[in-house]
Amino acid sequence: MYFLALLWVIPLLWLIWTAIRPSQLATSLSFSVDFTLDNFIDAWQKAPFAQYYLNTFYIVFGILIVQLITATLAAYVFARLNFWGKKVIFILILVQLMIPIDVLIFPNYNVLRDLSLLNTKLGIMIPYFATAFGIFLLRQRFKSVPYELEEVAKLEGCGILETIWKVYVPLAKPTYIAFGLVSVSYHWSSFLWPLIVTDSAQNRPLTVGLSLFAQSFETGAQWAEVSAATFMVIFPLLLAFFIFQKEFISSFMQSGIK
Amino acid sequence: MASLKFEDIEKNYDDLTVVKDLNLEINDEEFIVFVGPSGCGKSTTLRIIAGLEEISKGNLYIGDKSVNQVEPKDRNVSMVFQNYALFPHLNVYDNIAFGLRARKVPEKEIKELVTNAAGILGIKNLLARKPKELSGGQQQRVALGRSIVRKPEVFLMDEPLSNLDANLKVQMRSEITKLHKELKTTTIYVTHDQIEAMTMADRIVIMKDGVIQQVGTPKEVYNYPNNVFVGKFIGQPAMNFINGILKEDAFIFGEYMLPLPIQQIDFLRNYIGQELILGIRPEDIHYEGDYSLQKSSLNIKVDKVELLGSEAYAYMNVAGEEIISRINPRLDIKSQQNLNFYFDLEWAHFFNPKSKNRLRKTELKNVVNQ
Amino acid sequence: MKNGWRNSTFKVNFYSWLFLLPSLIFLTIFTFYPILKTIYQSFFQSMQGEHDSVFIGLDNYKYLMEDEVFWEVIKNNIWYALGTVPTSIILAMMMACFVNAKIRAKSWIRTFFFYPTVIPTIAIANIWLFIYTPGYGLINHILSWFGIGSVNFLGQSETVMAAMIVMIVWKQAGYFMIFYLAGLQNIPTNLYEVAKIEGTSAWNTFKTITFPLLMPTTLFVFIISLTNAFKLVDHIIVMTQGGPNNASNLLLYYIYQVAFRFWDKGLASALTVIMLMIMVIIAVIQFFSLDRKIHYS
Repeated sequence: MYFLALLWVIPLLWLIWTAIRPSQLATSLSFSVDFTLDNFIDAWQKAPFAQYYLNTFYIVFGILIVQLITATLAAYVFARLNFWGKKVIFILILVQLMIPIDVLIFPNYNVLRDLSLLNTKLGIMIPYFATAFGIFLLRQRFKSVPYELEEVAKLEGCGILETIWKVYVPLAKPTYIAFGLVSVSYHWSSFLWPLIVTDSAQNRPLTVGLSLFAQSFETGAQWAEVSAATFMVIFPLLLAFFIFQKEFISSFMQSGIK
Repeated sequence: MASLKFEDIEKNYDDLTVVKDLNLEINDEEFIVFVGPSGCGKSTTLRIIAGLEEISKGNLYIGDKSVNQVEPKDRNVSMVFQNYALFPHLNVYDNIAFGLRARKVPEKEIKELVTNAAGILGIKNLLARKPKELSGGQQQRVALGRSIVRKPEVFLMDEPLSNLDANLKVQMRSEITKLHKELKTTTIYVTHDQIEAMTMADRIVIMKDGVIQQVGTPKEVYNYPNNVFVGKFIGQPAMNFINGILKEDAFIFGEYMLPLPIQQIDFLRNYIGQELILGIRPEDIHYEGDYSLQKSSLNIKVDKVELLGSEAYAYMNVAGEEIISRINPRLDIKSQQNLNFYFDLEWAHFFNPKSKNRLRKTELKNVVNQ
Repeated sequence: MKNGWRNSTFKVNFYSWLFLLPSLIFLTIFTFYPILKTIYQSFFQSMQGEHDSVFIGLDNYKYLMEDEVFWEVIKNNIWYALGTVPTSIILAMMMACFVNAKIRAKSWIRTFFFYPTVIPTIAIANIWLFIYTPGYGLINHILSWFGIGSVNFLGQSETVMAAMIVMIVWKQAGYFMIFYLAGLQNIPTNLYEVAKIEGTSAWNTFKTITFPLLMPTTLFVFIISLTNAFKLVDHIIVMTQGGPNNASNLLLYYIYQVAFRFWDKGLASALTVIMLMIMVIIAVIQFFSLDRKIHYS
């Protein structure tokens, strides 16, 4: 099994190796002490990676922020209030868990078109603003908050929004972190949807930009530069992962216990 | 033959020694209870017998065989855990049959053995149920069923009653004792509850910090505690301990002077002038009311009285220490009164304040040098 | 004591619906409405850009029933699922048992298995595209050491699916390993101690204790990997474009082709409806698996 673990790392090592070798040597496995950062520089210059990075950050964190708001409000309602139609709406929300938005690319494309949101960053983000997954996670967590805390807040004169902000949100911090990591990972990696939505470099995230870059070489792929570009795209995620390993792993674990 | 012998057993985890100098012989068919506070090493000792922990030093014998290197499954022991350790995905029948199946016993025989064991424990009607459908007491019975069905040489029980409520505990205590009488299998039982130890054991082994403090029958351990720890641990409420000085014919503590009977003066002659600890149980301090009839009677102020229904205790303060006397619950004793208490020293003992050991008749060494 | 807004049912309803509104709006616009619209549109013949849609009833579906490509796509997706799901589950279980045991460099090993999860599929596609390249790709390089000729993994219909499966299993197994790790930690250790005392072998212990008690996790991982097998096609887009000759074409990719290459709205809708039905089937499986037989507490 130790061998299996080594096997698992090989693709990453191969990527890094190819990226730091001069591009002529990319296709041979010779061991020379010839290393270069040229590939990275070339790739960065050939495609607007900076713009891609910006777009990705904007999209990923934009989605996250809105998700946090919509999910927190909805989760509180489901956790604490009894209202007309509660059961029905709950089931409707379950539908989103059943039908991943990814399979609705075609109809959602049409909706975006009708809303004139094609080729915009907002267009990429908007279908994800509501998150059934987030609602469920937070609802679970909110339910375990002792009701007395809310009563104390009310006695102190807090209105409903203030109560949510002061009582529930702080106590659900681990859940927010878990959800945040899962959401960021997912949207950073998202490819098909942004691909069909965007037309221009202004709005493209890294994933789409990377694939276009890889395909842009006419005479066979320039593997060294593509590898360098690929590495640049995945590096922030890998870095975040190595630093926050425990949180990453426990987030993904928690997300399973829905 | 299911006797056990511990020879200089020691168990270490890195720098920590959890069991030290353990020497003990257990006879066939005995019900031995290991008792002591948390962390005293009793559970570790049990796990050593089971083979779940390795022995750092020393030898363990089950029967005449040295079992240091023997796998748990070959030691012919069974174990009941505090949280029952039932397989949640198997029903009661399969849980009990688990060990038999592992040993490839034919199904027909398994059926007989399991039904028999279930009958003994009164759980025949539960055989098809899963653990999550059972109450705590029922689960414990299933765990017991699993441990007896294989007819091992030794039963090991690790605080089996700790998770049960008080009434159930009392009931299960007598059931386990009954089981032991019926099956006559050597049983080693671990608990932190000294009441369980006193009521169930043939002999009690009291442990503290990995070292055996005393081994003896409940009566021996109660009436002749080896040291202050044992005196305090066994018996409820605990034995009273009073620091004082031994004089020619009395034991002095605080402003009190307790005259001593002649025979004890002979035995203690070598300790006159030294500091000693007097250990005396609450039931040996008798309330006399307003009139004192005895010589060993002291007038002490009662701080508070606790009425438990069938028992009552008076709390007093002498020489800066709290002592308790067991009193007749029907008497009307008000606190903050000065009343007379007679100290019956027949079952009292003196302890060395440095070593905390009980002074015995054969001990002649000067207390100060110990 | 002022209970203010909570006491009045009108106010409770008002606030509830108010707070639900943002989520509901987006859910409606991007989940419910699209589902309904697409079902509706599947009964029409319409091409992108045209304003006329002609009602043709079930003709789109009839077309699909006779469409070779459609059946090839469905067959491919099923094989693909059969290839990725059990393999990922078994590997994940093995990895988890390994990582959970007393091994050296435990957290390194865990990292090695898990890191592909945080890499976007598109990046993984690039990496493996190079690995699979005939001639100078990593695998062919190694094959050449053994004197084996170059194999065009992605260019042959016999090997392309297997190549995709290997890559996806490489990506997923570590992710599922995490769930199995959590599952293993939920098994009380003294069950294993009982097994030691009662005398079961290591394999038997796994079969009678570990595997059954991991069943809830297995089911969960099963559903996720099955869903992934249908909803994740990023790698197809970049590596094979469904080829060679539709050998690696999957349902969602076919939808992509029909919708955004051929611009056939009606047909794309019909295909989407079929995809929705598959999702519903998977959800039903999940629902029925909440049966008490598998969950023990």
